[in-house]
Amino acid sequence: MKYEIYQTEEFEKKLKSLDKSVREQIDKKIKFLANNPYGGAGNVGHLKGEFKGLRRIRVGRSWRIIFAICEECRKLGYKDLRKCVDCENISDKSVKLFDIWKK
Amino acid sequence: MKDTKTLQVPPRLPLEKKDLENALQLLYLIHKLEKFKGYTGVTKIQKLCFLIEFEQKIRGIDGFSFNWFRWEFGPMSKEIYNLLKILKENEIVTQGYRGIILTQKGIKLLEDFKPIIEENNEVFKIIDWVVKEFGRKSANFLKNYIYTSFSIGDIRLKDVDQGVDLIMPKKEEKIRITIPDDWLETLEIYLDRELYESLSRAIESARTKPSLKYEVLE
Repeated sequence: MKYEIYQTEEFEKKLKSLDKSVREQIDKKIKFLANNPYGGAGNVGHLKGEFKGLRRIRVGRSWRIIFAICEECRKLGYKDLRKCVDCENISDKSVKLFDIWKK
Repeated sequence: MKDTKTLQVPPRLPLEKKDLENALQLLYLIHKLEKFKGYTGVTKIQKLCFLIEFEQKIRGIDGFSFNWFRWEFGPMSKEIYNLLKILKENEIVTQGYRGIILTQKGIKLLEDFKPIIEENNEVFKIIDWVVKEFGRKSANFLKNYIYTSFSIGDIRLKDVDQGVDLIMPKKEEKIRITIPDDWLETLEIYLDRELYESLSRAIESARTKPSLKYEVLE
């Protein structure tokens, strides 16, 4: 995998609460993100306003993953917006999973 | 014919694209009305929305898009009740002694969506105009004004039966409100308290606790 994947506590908690079949679907999408976080055919979009710097990707019709790409965050100056506590310890080639929800 | 006696409209999520476009315009209208001292209740908002949509339609602008019917207290759209209910439940607007006003979160939303409002200047300009012309008027004045000045074909709205659909004029659309998908998705989050709080918690969690390595399933 090209990018390392990290998750917030919030993300981990939510993922654990989901049914196995949904978790597998989401895991598949996370593997896709690990190789191609900028999207391709993956329906990736950017959030705006106070959530600037975060991206979202669709998982099937109803699920959404909210994530950030660390190198993008640093390059575009979103680092100061997000202020992740472990920013210094995570490489550029990382993706951080923030949240997940059902639309 | 609609049942005008019972106006029970359950809140509905998720919102469709058109609902989100309506919501942004509605919030803008509510904010603009805050400069007036009088009470701005839901019936006054309904009538102002009717005037705005009518004005937009005759100028070939696809902005507001509600279904209207004639009601005792003025033109009425159940979708506006529904939208206001959702906005209240998600703490974007609140209702107090001055009527319906934006909450701090609602004000922040409008500030954040300023680029979209500016890009859709032609659409929002009509709201400004209607607020300037009619914002100070009472709900009763607006009802009488609309029912005596507007017609369906040759029939004045005041002579139309209760519950009959009020069809907006159809002009060739030259301009339509445009909110790019990324902004629509963001608006959906702002308008859904659960999503908004969940994402805010996740951001806070990233600020205070080191993130955990994700292990893919085998």
